[in-house]
Amino acid sequence: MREYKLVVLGSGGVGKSALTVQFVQSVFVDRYDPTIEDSYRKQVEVDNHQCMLEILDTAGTEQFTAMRDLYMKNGQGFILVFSIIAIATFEELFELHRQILRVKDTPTVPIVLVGNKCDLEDDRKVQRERGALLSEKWGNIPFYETSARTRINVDEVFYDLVRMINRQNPISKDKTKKGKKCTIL
Amino acid sequence: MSSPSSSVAPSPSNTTTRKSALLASYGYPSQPGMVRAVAAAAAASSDGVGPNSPGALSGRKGSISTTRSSHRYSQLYSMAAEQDVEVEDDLARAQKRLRELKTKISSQSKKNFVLERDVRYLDSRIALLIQNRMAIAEQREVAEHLEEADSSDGLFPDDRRLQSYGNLFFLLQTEPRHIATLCRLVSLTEIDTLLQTVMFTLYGNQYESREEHLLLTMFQSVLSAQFETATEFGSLLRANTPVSRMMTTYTRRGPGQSYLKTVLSERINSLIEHKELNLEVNPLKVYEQMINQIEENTGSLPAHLPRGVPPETAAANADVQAIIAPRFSMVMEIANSFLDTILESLDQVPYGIRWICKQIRSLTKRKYPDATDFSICSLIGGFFFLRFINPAIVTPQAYMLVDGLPSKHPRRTLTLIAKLLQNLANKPSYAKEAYMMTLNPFVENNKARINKFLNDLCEVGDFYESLEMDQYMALSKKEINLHITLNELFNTHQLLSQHRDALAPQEKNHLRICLNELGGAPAQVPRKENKTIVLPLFSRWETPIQDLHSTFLQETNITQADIMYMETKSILVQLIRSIPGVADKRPLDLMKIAETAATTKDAILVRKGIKVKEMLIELEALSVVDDHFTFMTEEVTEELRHLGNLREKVNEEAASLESVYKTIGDHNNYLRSQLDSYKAYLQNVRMQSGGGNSPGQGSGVGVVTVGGKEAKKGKQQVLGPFKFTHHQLEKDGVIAESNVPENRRSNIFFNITSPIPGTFIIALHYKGRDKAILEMDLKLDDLLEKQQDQVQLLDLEYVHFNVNKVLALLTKTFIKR
Repeated sequence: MREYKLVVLGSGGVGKSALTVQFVQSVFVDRYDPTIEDSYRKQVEVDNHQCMLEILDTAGTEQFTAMRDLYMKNGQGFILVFSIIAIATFEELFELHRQILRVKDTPTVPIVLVGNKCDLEDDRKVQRERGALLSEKWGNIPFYETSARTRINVDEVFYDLVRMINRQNPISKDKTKKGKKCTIL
Repeated sequence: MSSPSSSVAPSPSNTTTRKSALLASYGYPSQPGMVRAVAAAAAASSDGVGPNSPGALSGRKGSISTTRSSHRYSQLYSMAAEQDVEVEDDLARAQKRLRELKTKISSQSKKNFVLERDVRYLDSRIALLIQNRMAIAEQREVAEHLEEADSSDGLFPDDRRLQSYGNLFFLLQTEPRHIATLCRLVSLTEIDTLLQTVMFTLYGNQYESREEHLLLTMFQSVLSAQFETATEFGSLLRANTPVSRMMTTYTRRGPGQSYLKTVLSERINSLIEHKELNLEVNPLKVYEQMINQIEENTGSLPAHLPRGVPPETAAANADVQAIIAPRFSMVMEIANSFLDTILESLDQVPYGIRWICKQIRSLTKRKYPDATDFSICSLIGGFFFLRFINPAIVTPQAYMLVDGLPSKHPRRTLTLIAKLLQNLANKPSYAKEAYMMTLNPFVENNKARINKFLNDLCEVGDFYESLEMDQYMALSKKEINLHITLNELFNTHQLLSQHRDALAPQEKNHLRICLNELGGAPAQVPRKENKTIVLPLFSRWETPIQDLHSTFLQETNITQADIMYMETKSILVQLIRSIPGVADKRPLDLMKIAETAATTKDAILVRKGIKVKEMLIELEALSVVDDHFTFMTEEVTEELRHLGNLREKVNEEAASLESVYKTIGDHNNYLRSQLDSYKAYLQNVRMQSGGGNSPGQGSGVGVVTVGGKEAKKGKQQVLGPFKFTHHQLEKDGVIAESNVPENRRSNIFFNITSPIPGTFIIALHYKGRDKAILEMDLKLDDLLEKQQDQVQLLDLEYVHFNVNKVLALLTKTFIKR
């Protein structure tokens, strides 16, 4: 089974953990519990292939930024999360995106853009179009508005990221790699 | 300031303030001896409590041991003594060393802050460079960041404007509410520059209580606003906001760094020594490591140990449990030792950090009267642990607590420790990762301790009493100068102008008057011209206070004799400090000390000795003292004891600051080396993407030097030609328009060559002909410039190329190889 290392990034309080825990455990955590670094694992079927997702949920607190470089180095796909009710969280993603490109040293990295808390429509500060425009600018990457609370578009985010990784790194290629490894052993 | 905190803010109309203002202005610091005399006299006459009570020094941090007035004066007394510049003894020398150290640390941490910003900036720009997406102007900006800033002092050309700026910054410094409001108005992208100016320039003297207190007043105001706008308790202090940015920047100042180093560095270093110590307790990871090991050893995996099992299966495995059990107890033990160290450090926690905790607590109680102690503690923990302690534990290299990145296993252990501490501070009801539940005993066992600690953190005094005093002392200082760069000056000016109406809506507001006078803010100057200037602060709205002496005497009922008594005492202390060995014999013989001084070879001492002798006699005649000078002897002895303690304290502080200074010096080197590697990296990118031009010749970036050496020119290796058909380029959108007749297009092809990096030759060929029909030289820089100027098309006579697509094509063809 192929393994996928996914990393969830974004500003503090946007709901990275809520999104991840909703996806993995189908629970909505509503009490604020700042993350330092949590890891999860979930087996899913995407396009008829069994996939093992290893999801790293990271700290949004800006004081922990020194850890990001390592996450980016190790991750294969990234979920960049902002909150649609806080414009600053949207703007903070520009920097994160740039950092990913720098660390990966390539302009094509599997990334999904996510605007969370879409159940709070009344408090919306980031218009849908802005998110869409940004995702276009970043090379037409997928963009979802999600709600970890009501489980809207949660699975889609993770599945799409897996598909992006597959596109960049087709599954068959991966198998031959594994075969090589065996012969070495 | 509409917040409730305004009641504690200094207010000049308050009468006690006035008194201390007068007192302070009277002689500080030009006549320290006199201030000391007067202050002590006031203390002595108020209720007879010794002015030099041991609490006097720490009194500034709130332990009020005497009545309000004597507390105030005793502080002043000690401060004056601390600043004693007339004496040249061990204490004075130690103090001088300390002062110099503090100045050096203040300026070095500012340099580091600026360097860190440069590194961050370059970090973000490199990605653009990789993609060739950087506009020319921006490339120049990047280039500028690699230039050494000019550190020499500059002169401000216009004297009148300089004065206006002096007045403006005086207002900003003495009335923190302006900056506080501004911090809330600016965007997160603007705040870094503003905070740099505020924390390292405006209040840049990190060890002077006055500036520290003004800075904290500003914090308070910003914090209150954050609480006022918070919609729900859970979101308080959660997001990255100006407040959290302020906290980060604040902890980067000397005292915060020093605390982390003394408290954490030893623990962390002894942990990371054990590079191979694997303390992973996540069953999934342990299971995985285990089966990998088995596979490596036996060459295959047994059927009962499949890959990719769910967490429950991994946790239920007996072998996994056996591996984890001893690790658990070890992790707990280490976490406990960290916790112990932190809890024991209560008294070392910098005052400002504790004060912020206190503000969080009182603001929470005010806004949410029903908040439980439990939830308040988690908020305090959210600041103290989440934003201060834990980042240093998880990434100690970023806080210069260790050299270099710790290796994998210790790094994971440190993360686990931080997670445990965070759980303890926050006590979440739901364990996101199941295995963390098993570490719950740690939370249960330490719950009470941590809550007490977090509450104790808040137990510090307010500073407004000493703030008033300090503030007015500042007014009487002959001069306050800010060392500020032109860009800091202009940037602050610009931000203030931009938000003028919110900051100072009324025409008569002093701030507004200053801003109106200054007009629009000048543009930022190039880095090379960004000189540091000396900005003398003054206020045109302050009127000098006349005849302080008599007013002071009237208001405090101090007699001339009281003053003479204190002056005598202070001269005696000076003499004892100046003549080694004179006070070795106890009890002190004051008359003999005066006599000894009067017979030395030092003219000043002789004069002082004679004078103090006369004063002693006069005091006796006035019956202020008895003939054995009993009370005065006691007071002098007490003062000497206090100064002796002070010397120890000064030496201790100096020793710890030495290590801080070394740390930030190391950090500076580290940042410089990081910048150097960026230079090399950029250099490399530019060699590939067109940096082969020597500076001045090409239109691109002007930096081709690394470490002072001229960079080697790229190998003159011709790349290409690469052939592209008309059809292909048309399909890819590179050809935007074509004048070639439809039926001939299949005969057209293009050869693209790169004779030197950054230069390309595009040749248009017609099948069957040897020579190209048309050749065009292209420089990458020119293309980038066209892109920036939004020029869409590149004219090749027969065809028009789309600029962006050509760039993409060239990048793909030549650079990614």
